[in-house]
This record gives sequence, C-alpha cells and structure tokens, in this order.
Amino acid sequence: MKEFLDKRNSFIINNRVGYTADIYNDHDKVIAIFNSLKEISTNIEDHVDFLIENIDEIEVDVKNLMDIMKNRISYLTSAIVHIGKLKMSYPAIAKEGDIKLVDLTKGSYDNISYSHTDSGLIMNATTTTLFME
Amino acid sequence: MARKNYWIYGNKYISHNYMTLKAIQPGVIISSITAIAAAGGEVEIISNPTKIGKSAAIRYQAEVSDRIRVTIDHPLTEVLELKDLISIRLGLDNYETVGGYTSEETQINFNKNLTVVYDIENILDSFIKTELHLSTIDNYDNIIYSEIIPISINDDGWMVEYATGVSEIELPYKPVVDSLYVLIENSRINQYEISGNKVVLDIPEGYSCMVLYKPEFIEQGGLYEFSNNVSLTPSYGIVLRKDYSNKINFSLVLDIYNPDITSVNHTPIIKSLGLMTSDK
Repeated sequence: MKEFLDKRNSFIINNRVGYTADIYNDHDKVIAIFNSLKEISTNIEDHVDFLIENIDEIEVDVKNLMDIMKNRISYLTSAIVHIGKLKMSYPAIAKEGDIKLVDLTKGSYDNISYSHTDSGLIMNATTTTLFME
Repeated sequence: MARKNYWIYGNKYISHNYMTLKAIQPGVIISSITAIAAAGGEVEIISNPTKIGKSAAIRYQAEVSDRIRVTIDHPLTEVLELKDLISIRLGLDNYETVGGYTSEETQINFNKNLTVVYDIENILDSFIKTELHLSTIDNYDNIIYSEIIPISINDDGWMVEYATGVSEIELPYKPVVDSLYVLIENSRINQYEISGNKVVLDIPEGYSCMVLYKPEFIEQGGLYEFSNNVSLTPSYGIVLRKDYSNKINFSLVLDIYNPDITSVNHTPIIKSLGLMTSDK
C-alpha cells in the first residue's frame, strides 16, 4: 500500500511540474496572448470613442428601432391570440370570409377614442383643455 | 393635398400627456404635432403621418406647455380655418368611468356557429357589456331574422348592467343569486330583491348602480335557448338557426365601465374585436 501511495504522489507531483513547465516553456505563446489582448483593447477603445461621439444619433436610432419592433411584436401578438382562439374553438380550417375583425378606427364613440399610440380603443380623459388658433 | 402649419394655444400652461383629435372634415391627416415644453424646447408628439377617423387619441410623456404646433394635410387647408377642420383637446390622463362604442356594420359568411373574438389589454377592474347585433340575410339580401345577443367578453364570463336613477334593473339572463354584486357608486349594497331576471332596488337620484353577476346558464352546461333563432353554449358560443341564410350583417356594441376602484389613471385598451363563424 505504502509503495502505491508513494508512486501516486510522485506521479501527481511530476504531472504538476509538467503542466507548469509547459506553460512557462511556451514563452512565445504568452507574449502572443498579451499582444492579442492589447490589440483587442485598442479596438474596443476605438469603438467606444465612436459610440460616445455619436451618442445622440445612436439614441434616436435605437428608439426608432425599438418602436418599430414594438409595433411588429404587438401585431404578431394580436395575430397569435386570434389564431390561438381559432384553433381552440374550431379545429376545422376556417375559410376566408369566416373571420371578420371590425375596423376600430370607424364606428361611433361615446367617451372613447381610437388611440394610435396604443393601437386600440381607450377611454377619453376627463379634464381636457381646448387648444385654438 | 395642401399642407399647413398651425400654432394653437390654451388659455394657460397645463400638464398634458393625452390629446383627443376630433375631425370636423373627413380625410384629415395629421403630418406632425409638436409641443413647446416649459424649458423652451420643441418636443415631438406625432412624427409619422396619422389619418384621423372620427375621433382619435394620442398618449405620450407628460409635458407642460401652453402651445402646440400642428401640421395638417387636407385639400381644404387653404380655405378653412383649423377649427373647421379639427378639434384638439389636451389633458392629463384621468379617464372617464363610462364609455360606449358601436362598430360599423360588417358582413361575414353565414355559418351556424359564431364566436366573438377579442383582444383586450389592461382590463384590470373595468367591465365591458357587449351586445352582438346581427341580421341574417339570404341570397337576395332579404333579412331572415335579426337578434340582439348580450354576451360576456370578460374572461370569467361575468355580465354587467349599469343604470342611473331607476328602481329596477332588468338582466338579460337569470343570475346565479349568490354571484350578485350590486354596487352603488362603487360601494357594495345588500338591500335589494330579485324578481325573476329583475333586481329591484332604490338608486338615489344622481347615483349610478352597477350589477355584476354570473348567468345561471353558464353553470348549467348544455345549450341555452336564448330565442327561437339563437342558442348559447356556456362559453358564449352562439348557435344560429340556418333557414335560408347566406350572410350575416353584424355590429358589436360595447359599454365600458371603468370604476377605478383599485387604480387611478387607468384605461382598458381594446386592441381588436371581431366575429368568427364555423359550420363545425
């Protein structure tokens, strides 16, 4: 048993020394890694400088992109809800002309308006001020 | 199409995050709206051309100002004043508690099974009374029969009735008695009697009353015979008598009650409404 344990210790120590030696022996590799890091840092710095310089335009672009995405997602959600209801209610395939959505921008309203911001009908506000020329 | 800029003014500085646009002339297109904020900068409220139907609303971040600039596209901008084209009101969103909407009449293929489809967001504590007005018509556009069918588009199947200054409220369906909530000015009361489909009570002058209830038929299962032409399933699916009907003309009438019991500055948003038919 003692013999086995001594061998094992020796084996582990040799291995550790081997790994360390590999790393330190490959000096060029380490230098290459540091150079690569330096280059990437410079690239990142350039990109960050560009972002800082153009922050106003980027903010507007991001906002526009978000608005477009929100509208698309809202439309898709609405379509998915209807498809879901259709699937749950009627397993048979519905024909065109068997589903009709009313045009919410048309009709008659009482204390309700169509909101372009929300793409739907909302209640009117209670206190409003008339603006005139 | 002529484009014109207008500066319009309120009588004082106000906080606003809500705008209603009511078209006086048909076909008004708003090209842009900006507000002069208190700090002096011009803030964009609408930047994309927006066609105004009869009435439209816009919600945005709150601003404080007494003037806004509106750009309108309309053939008559050179001959009409702004007040003859459109009415613009600004306010802070504190919403009405009662409102109504009636859709334009729409036509759909006749199939005996009907379902009202809807997508409503932000419903919170509001209730919506819905009526489906329909007429079935034959190949020669003769009306075979017409019906007004009250249904629930509240997710739990509850119905709502609203009244002011009356001594009894008639419900379209027999209620489950234990389910009744009778509210006067949003406070629950227990002093009422039920006689058939009627709730008998005294509503003080100037007060409003809302009755919330679950119809008995949605708990019973099977088809409920609403009339000779219409039966209802417990989930408000509608089954029509066929006869010689070929098309259905329908309109949806909504009464929205937004009692604001648990929230302020809240509005439900009705994203879509429609009807689906099937012969299966």
